[in-house]
Amino acid sequence: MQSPLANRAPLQLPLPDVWALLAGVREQVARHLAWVDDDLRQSAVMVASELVENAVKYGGRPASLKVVVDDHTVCVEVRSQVSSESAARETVARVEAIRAAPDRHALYLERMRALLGAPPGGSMQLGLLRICGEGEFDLACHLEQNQLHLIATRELS
Amino acid sequence: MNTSVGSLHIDGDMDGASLRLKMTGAADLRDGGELRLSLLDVHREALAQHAHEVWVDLKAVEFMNSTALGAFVGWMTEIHKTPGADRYHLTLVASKERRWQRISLHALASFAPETISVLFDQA
Repeated sequence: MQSPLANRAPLQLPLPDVWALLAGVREQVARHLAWVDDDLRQSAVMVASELVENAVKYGGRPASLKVVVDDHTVCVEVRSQVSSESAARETVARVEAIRAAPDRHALYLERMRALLGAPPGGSMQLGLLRICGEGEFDLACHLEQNQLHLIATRELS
Repeated sequence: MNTSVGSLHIDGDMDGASLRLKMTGAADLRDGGELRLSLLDVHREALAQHAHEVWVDLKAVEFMNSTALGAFVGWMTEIHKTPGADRYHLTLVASKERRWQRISLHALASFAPETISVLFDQA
């Protein structure tokens, strides 16, 4: 069945370098996905926010966000300039580990459980797992021409 | 107690043996340290007041990033470290309409059902 969402123009935004502007990014993504059912829209907004936060915190400039809806999927993609090659490779490896996990929701819960009792101040590494565990998006990641691409996709229900 | 961490606002008061907090706004924190300290203040206040329960109404919190969720995990850790006689029950009042609350708060509470529960209400 043809989805009414097909062939909509993607949302493309240059990413701010200012943390306080992230709420505006979430609002724009929510508006762009106003057609989508509420559950999926909320997931996509969370996914976009977590990916953009990562890019603002750890990535270099320029950085951008693209949200594409076609007949079958919602795709949220963030590109950022690699500011540290080792950190970028670590991100790629973490995404590969998540992709290889048989149950990503369980992986998210395991990470939360591990944080319970962990000393404060350490790296939480919760955002990418949340994208898969709470948001039910699939993640992919690759390095290309000194840019890190993080791509989250979820099928339209 | 009234405080703000970024665009997250926290208001609270004692109500008998319960400490009742209402949070509003959004918690999209770059660094979870300030929220961790605010929640530690809540924890200390609950202990000082010998509260049996702490209620946190999160229904009006539109968004919480993973850093802020981590601060809540830190609060749960503090409750767990508290000796049984002083330990209070934490109830998170959440909205079924907000997906992040339905899934991630429920997951948090499932780790310690004896001390933490989630009560779902309409937004």
